[in-house]
Amino acid sequence: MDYHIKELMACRLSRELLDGEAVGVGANFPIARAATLLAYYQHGPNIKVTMGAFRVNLENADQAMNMAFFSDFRPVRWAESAMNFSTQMYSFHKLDTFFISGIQIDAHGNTNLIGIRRDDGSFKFRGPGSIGTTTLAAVARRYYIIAEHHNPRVFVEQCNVVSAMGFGDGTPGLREELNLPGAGPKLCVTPLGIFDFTPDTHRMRLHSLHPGITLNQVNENTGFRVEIPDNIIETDPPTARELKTLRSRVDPNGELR
Amino acid sequence: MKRTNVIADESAALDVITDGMTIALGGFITAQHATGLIRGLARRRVKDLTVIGSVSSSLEVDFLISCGCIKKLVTAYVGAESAAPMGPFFKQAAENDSIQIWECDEIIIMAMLQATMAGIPFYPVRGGLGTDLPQLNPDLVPFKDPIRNENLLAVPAMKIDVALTHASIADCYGNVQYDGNPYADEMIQKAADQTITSVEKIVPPEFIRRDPFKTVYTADMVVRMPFGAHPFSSQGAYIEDTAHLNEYVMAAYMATKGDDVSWETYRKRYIDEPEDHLSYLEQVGVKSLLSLHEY
Repeated sequence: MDYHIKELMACRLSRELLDGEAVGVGANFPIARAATLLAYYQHGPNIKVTMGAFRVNLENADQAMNMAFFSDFRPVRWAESAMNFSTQMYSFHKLDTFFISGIQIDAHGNTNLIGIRRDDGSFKFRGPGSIGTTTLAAVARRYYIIAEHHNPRVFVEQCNVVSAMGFGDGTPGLREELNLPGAGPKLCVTPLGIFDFTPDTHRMRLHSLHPGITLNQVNENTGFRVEIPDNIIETDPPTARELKTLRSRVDPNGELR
Repeated sequence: MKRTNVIADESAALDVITDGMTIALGGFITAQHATGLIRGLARRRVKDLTVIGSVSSSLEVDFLISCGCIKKLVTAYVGAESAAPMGPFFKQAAENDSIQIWECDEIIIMAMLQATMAGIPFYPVRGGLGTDLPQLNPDLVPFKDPIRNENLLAVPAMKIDVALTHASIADCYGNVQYDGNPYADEMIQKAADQTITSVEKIVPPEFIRRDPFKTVYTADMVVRMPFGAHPFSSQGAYIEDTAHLNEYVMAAYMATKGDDVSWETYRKRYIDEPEDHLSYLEQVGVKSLLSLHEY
């Protein structure tokens, strides 16, 4: 079956989301939004779905809309409630999961949206900014890292600037020591594979390779030593049912293709 | 004695903001910024401002940077999402060290507003521990809380001289209502010493009293500015002007790559030459403006 790699990433992520969970989706993040809506349509009618600043009910929506901007107010047609900024931002610890990306992602799941500095501290490359990720990564129950590009510039041993903490330097128990209530990143999803973190030192470990991808490709495109498990499995590709829902209801304009 | 009418004209409102002040901008990314007023500040080249671009900001902060208005910037994001992952002049200024950046995320800004509006020295957050934020922004101070002995980060209050917000309607007494999400505007208003709000429409006080639960705050000054958020959206009134955002981004991006021509044209046409907001709207054109509808 033909599918785009971003469709596979969205389908794989959607299987992670459980019915009834509260899921946060940030700005300009089509894979995360597709994964959430797909989970809602496939197996999660009680997933608390947000589109921009709205909590929505899409039961009777033949097609969800693509959103170019978080603040697009047009999903109001499906909205049951609107995010109250003054209270929501202090209750993100009640969020079951959310998604994060970065200009750098490191071996211990830390991410960088701020930039890359020279030795003197000045910015060689400035990134967009932390948005809400610093806090969400600290407090949400778990989260997923999504990388649209898998190369050694993005996947580095250590982020030049950490804007959201994953597992720090990997010291066991570091998150607990810092009193961060969230469990940290659960998986990292890239165009090459799915990665988890070793239980002891929280180092990124290959979980599955996407169909057609080789271990060599992963090693060549990662700027650090990836932990390799004894048995390497293949990522389950999108099912026909997933693809049908994805293309007809979630992503009718083909943003992921 | 009669109750004071707080409706002001554009230039009187802009006169309030002077060099060196700290101002907080309302709205959220591509929606509901007081762009008309902010453009006025850029036209006047007000200098040395500390700008709080809450809670995440967009190209209104970018053109303020380009016009040399900003000394220090408090923001979690400057960009226009799919139209521009980040503001070109913001990127350039950050890389040239020509503005000071108070590094934070959205929740840290809100904590700062919370402390400021409550009149307390700081508000604690968890996010930021274990990251480089406290190193990049020494105002964020790690501490042990006295109740549960947990690690937290103290976010200090900030004196905010003026808040600039954009809303749907207000009456002549400054009672402001939104046909949509007020985002963090209420906190911004409560944290600032005074608030100037541009509105799509001024309505009679009776209209406000019809639904007082909808009133979000009372502004100190109200400026009538139809299409005042353009090129951003104003809820219930118009959507983002994506074509204009793209025009801006292209011109600004080229300028940061050393080709000033398009940016000079943009700046003259939309920022410097229109003497006021209505002249700006004339430059954008009726056809463009009225095509920014929902369906």
